[in-house]
Amino acid sequence: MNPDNIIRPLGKLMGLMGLYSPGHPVVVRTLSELIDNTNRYFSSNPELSIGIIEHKLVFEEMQVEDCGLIESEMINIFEKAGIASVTLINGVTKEEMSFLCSAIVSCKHDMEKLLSDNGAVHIRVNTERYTKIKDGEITASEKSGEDITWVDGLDGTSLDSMIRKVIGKAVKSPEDRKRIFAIIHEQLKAEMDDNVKAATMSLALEKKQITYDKERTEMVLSHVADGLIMVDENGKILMMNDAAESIFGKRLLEKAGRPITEGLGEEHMVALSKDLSSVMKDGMEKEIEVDGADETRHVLKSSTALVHNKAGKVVGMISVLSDITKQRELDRLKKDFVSHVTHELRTPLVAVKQAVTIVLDKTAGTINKQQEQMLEVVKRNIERLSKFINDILDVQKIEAGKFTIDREAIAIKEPVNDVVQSLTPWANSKEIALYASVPEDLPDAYADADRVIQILTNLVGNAVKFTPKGGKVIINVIPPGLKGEISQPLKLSVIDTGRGIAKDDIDRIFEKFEQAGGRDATDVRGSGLGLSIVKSLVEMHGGKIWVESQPGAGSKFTFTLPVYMEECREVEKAEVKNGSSQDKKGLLNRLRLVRNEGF
Amino acid sequence: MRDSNMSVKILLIDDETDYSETVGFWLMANGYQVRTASSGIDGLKAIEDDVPDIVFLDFMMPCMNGIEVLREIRRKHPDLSIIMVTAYAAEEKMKEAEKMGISGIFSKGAELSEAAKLISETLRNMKSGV
Repeated sequence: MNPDNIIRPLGKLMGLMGLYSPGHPVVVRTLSELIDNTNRYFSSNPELSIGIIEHKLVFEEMQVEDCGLIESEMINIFEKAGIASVTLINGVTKEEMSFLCSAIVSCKHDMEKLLSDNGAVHIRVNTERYTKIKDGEITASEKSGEDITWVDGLDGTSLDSMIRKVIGKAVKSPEDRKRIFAIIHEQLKAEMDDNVKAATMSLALEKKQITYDKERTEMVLSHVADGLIMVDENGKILMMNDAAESIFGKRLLEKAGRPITEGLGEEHMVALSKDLSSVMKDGMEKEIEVDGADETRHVLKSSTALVHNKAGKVVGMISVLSDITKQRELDRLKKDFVSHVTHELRTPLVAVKQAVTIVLDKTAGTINKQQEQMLEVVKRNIERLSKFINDILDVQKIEAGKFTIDREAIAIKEPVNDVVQSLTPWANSKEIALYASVPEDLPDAYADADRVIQILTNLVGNAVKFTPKGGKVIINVIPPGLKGEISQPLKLSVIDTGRGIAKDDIDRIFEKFEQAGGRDATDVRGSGLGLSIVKSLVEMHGGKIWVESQPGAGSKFTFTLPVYMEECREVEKAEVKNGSSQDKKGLLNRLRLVRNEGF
Repeated sequence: MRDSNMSVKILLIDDETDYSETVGFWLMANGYQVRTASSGIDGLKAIEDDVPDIVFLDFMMPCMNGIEVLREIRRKHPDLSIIMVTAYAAEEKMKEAEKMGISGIFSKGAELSEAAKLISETLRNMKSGV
């Protein structure tokens, strides 16, 4: 067997032990490799030894000729730890091996004792020191225990006087006593020196390791692409990485130790420092706009976390700043593009639609039955396309926050009847009974009538679409109940006897471009945007929407609308004063934001 | 009905001539006197040549948009009935137009019968002096 198969993983393992925890995957992998290879070796040998003789690596008393980086590193580690050789005995375990390596790397003393204390019985370590001691070993008196009363007097005396007393008891001749004391003294001094040296060396190694760790951490931080700022509990800058420096156009050297608000003087720095002064949770994210070093406006996403010490006291704050300017710009471009394309699509489409309508209503002369049928197909598909484009534009407006609702007190009966009236011809053509059940004496809803029509048209339209011939579609209005002092909202349900929605589809039915059972529903197509728009519209009214369905039996979509109350009038007044409901909402959000920031 | 429309003069201002001519054809077929203009400037000229009863004015046009044309018309003809035509106008623009006084808004995608309804409503209001 090639000694390399054992020496290399062993050397690698020792190297890794200094860098990673024993549980690290690299360490675990290397350890497994080493144990596999030693076990293979033990199949024909009871044990194996690796050692150093005159600065050369020796495997089973054979010098390793090919000395690479791993081998020379191993020689260094062995020599630093003062180890002459290591003997592994058949049955050596991963735990023993792992313990051995970390002990060697951290230059632990008295390795033999350490190993046996930790139950590592399959490993023997021979140290040079051990060999030396062996040469000058003094065998203990065979007569010990004969007269030991003098031993009590040893307590509390110095080492020197202890040795003198012991020698005085054991040796009679003063000459011999002197000589033996000198030998012991000499040996003790040498050993002490060795111990001090070893301890110093392990301290130096530890220090080197800490410095290395610190450098590595700093290197990683400074190379992170996002800006990173660390401040202490007083808001003074401790560190700023390259990215943060280039974001702000300031050097750390100019700023280190300065309060974050001082000198930088820019509004974004003030914005950052507020994080500290305000009451803050463990972490927060927000977007800030700053003037960058290149004098362009940058949008930054700042994620901030407080740094606590062990006692839970805040000792500083760390902020990660990601420059999301490009991302924002792309979002804007995408939106502009979609809006441009949809407008451009719409314009020719309306011309086609009107032209087809004119031919169909025979304003431009008579057409035969077949021509009429073909043109009906054209018209139907143009309407489908128009609906899709309108939906996209609506979704876009909702996403951009430009979709506004004009809420006022409305009798819910009116939009409900409007929708029933406009969709009845279609329902009739499919022999579907469409009707509404609206109780008398309903309180007014606080809603935008046009949007309620849009919501109901979508829901009833879907119901008619997915209900087979002879089915029923019902709009049910449920009066608000009273729960304590607070009035409950109005509930509107659209119930059909259609094919229903599978359980798996129910959760995603309100998402964009989703259609329940879309795969086998080739006969009924839609944009897949309708329900996502409906949900947004309901939510803009402060309502909720949900669906209950039983596949094969039908579906029931229910949404809520708030009831008009005195307080609504106040909001309405404010809306008029502020121009539009959108402004009002914006103002409310701003107020809320200000409150959150603790002003 | 058609005969009563005969004396009503309508001007359509829209850069999408396919659209304005189609609608114009339908209005003509329904007895109205129709002229079309393919830009704001042409439209303003057409108004100077012969003041119509009702103007259908498109919001989105190059060079001079609907709002600018409307402002220009209002300087000389504060009472001229104007119906704004839109494919999908932003609400703030609608509001701006409404402030300058318009008789209605016609969505390009709507049925043509809606246009006829808007015209007769406008005519009724004109007669009653609203």
